[in-house]
Amino acid sequence: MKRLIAHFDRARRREGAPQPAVEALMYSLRERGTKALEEAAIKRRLADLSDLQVIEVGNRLQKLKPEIARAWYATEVETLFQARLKR
Amino acid sequence: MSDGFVDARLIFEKVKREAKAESGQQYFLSFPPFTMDPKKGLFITVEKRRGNKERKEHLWLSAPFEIIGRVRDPQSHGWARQLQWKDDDGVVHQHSVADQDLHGDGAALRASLASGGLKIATGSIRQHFVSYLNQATIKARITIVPRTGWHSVDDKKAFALPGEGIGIVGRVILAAEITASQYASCGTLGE
Repeated sequence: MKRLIAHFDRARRREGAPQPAVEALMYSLRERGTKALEEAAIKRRLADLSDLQVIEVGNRLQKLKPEIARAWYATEVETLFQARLKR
Repeated sequence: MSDGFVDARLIFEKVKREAKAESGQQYFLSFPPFTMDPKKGLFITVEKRRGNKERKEHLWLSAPFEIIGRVRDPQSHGWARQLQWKDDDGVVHQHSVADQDLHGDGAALRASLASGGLKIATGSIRQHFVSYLNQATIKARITIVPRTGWHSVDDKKAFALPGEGIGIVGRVILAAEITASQYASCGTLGE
């Protein structure tokens, strides 16, 4: 059953997550930084994103304006991607 | 924006490459006297004697390819090796080389691989290419099934899905995936 669920999870990941889920993830990451990557809910949201969506998140985090939140460094984006691929 | 902006796609590719290397998912096999260079291809080292002098020569046998697993059906018949390579356009090809095809002169085998863009040496040394395939040992197992659904494997029921199976060890591929057309659609006209 676990493997069946994993199979459908992967199929869903190919399609990507709905945009509100992407925005919720963006909010958590910009507010709490890489610390958020330790949270189970964030790990789950990250796993639901397609490759394209996670790349987009990486670019957006690096482009954050100072008045909104600190822009992420490339090394932090790397940590984000590592967390996604570790799953 | 931070000064050190790097296209996230490049970072993603890098992390993916590192993860792949760590998990050992590349199957470029080398064993004496064969060397598989992931960039240059397959070479055989032969010793040549001229007079009293002996020297080693590295002869090119083919472009690089991976042997990604041993293929067999759920009843443990039809053993083969699953090969994967990229052609000159960067298109990834996969081909099952049946063990039984290694026991002829190998001409038909080499021709079918060449038609998928795998460059193979011509001339008398090409027989070494077949020897390499025959001697290559790989632990990874791939089960080939005619369709998704329930199958009997070693008197046990197993459920096959594309890419994996429940109750089946290793990867699962559908027979249709091997014979399927090389054409596929992707994206939209607008893109």
